[in-house]
Amino acid sequence: MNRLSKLIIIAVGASCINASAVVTIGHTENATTGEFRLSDGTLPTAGGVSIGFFSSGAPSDAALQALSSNVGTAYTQLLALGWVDVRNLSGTTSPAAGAWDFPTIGGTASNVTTGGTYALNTQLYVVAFNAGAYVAGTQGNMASTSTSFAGSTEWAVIKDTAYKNAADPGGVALLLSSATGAGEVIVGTEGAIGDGANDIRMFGAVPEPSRALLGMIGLVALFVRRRR
Amino acid sequence: MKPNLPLTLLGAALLAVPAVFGQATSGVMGFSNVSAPAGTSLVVPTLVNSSVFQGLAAVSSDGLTITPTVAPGWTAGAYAKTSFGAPVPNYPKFYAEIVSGTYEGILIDIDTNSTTALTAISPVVPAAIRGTTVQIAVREHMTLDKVSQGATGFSAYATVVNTYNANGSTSTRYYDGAGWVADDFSSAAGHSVVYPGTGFVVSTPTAVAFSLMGEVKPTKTVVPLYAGTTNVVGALNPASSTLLYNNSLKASLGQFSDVINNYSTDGNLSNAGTYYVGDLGAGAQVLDGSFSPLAPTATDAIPLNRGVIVNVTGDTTWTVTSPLAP
Repeated sequence: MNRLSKLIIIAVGASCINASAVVTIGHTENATTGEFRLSDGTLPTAGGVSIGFFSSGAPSDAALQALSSNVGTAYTQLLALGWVDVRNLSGTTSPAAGAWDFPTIGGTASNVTTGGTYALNTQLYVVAFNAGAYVAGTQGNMASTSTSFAGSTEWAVIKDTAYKNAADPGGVALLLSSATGAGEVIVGTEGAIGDGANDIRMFGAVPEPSRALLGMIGLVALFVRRRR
Repeated sequence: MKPNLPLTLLGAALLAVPAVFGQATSGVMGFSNVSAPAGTSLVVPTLVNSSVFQGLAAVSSDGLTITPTVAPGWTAGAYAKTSFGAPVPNYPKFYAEIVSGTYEGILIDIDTNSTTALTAISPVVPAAIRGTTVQIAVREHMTLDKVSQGATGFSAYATVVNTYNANGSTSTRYYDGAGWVADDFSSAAGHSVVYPGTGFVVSTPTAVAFSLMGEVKPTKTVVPLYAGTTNVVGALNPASSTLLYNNSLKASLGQFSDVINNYSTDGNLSNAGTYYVGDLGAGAQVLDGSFSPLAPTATDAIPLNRGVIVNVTGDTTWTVTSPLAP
């Protein structure tokens, strides 16, 4: 049998085989693996993490950091950049409800379908928010998750070089303890004094003063000058 | 979990220790069946080939020569690796394993032999073994051909086996109607080695029934787990599944970072459980997918003759005990 004939037979045969491209993605936080903290160093009691990738190509770190100017809209801005939470991929079995929400995080997304925009070695990110929760919406439709983490004022973005889609079939555990290299803590602070060595503090933009407050400051300054 | 088909013992004395005369003796022989439904399944053979030699042997200081202390009277080249011409890949056909002591379970691929000594393909590791005398057994490797003996249901050019190599690459083998060929569809690949405690992924459009035959391994097995690759591994117990609670994997895996994935046996290869290892204050334990410790009564188990997928962040080894000496 010539080689071309063999190849044709292989192609036909392969189409009869069930697809089996799935991996698992786990994430837990504890004193050993590292934990997200609020900007004041306390452990968050609301909010949670979103783990995923950018289907439109990874944005620059600067583009992600720029979203910090308004954390309340950061999640919807991520969606605009093509953000896909792995739980939203069709066929994924999500971890137990709340498993990726604060205060206690520990869970695994199973049967995560690989391929397409989520190919082998796709860079994964862990994004944390301090309010609301992940809204599952409809699998395959990330827009339906747009109300996730509503009310957040602080957030963090981690991109570790080890956070890559695992080979199928396999799994990967995304731990904060492995995010230590340059450019891996994109938004947030690692190793703040008093925190665990692997802990990441979220970042919240300092609010701009309101016009009325600026006006008051100006009047006070004028009053002080006249008294002198 | 009760196995579908129990191990049938063909009977023989338990493995003796012929330390003086370098003989091979019969171990506990049997066969164990595993079915792979249409679709994709994991297969990890739980039996090994009988030993062809046992005895004390001196390991040279460079780790490349293993010389029995009593002249074995071998036929030169009897244990040599295959000698296919390029581009057909060659494989070791036999291995020596250390069967007692600190390094019990370590396996050494044989390149060839003289009438009095074995030559290893690579220097024996760890280096602490070199220059010492150890008790060894020599066995023929399980190969894809051997695992397939007596199997039914293969479909020519549609039944495919994937094995995952230490360097992260995947070797694909196709059944060509008579045997196994490599992914060039022509090079013979039936001699592909299936190391003890490891296995492969089989995809098939029709159900395949494997009839595994061999010896119940009476000694420990050190199974390597490589970072950056898919480790298809399982316990060498041909009679039953192996519980994950308190499994010896807990001594090998990185805490909270290395992953054990169990899969369905219905051909869909869907996730049937994810497990980790972690110390939550009571020592290293096997944790479930929620990072909670498995209970002593948990029935989560490595399926019989099927294995699990283990992903590790750093190379390590898993020491598997024999069901004959748990």
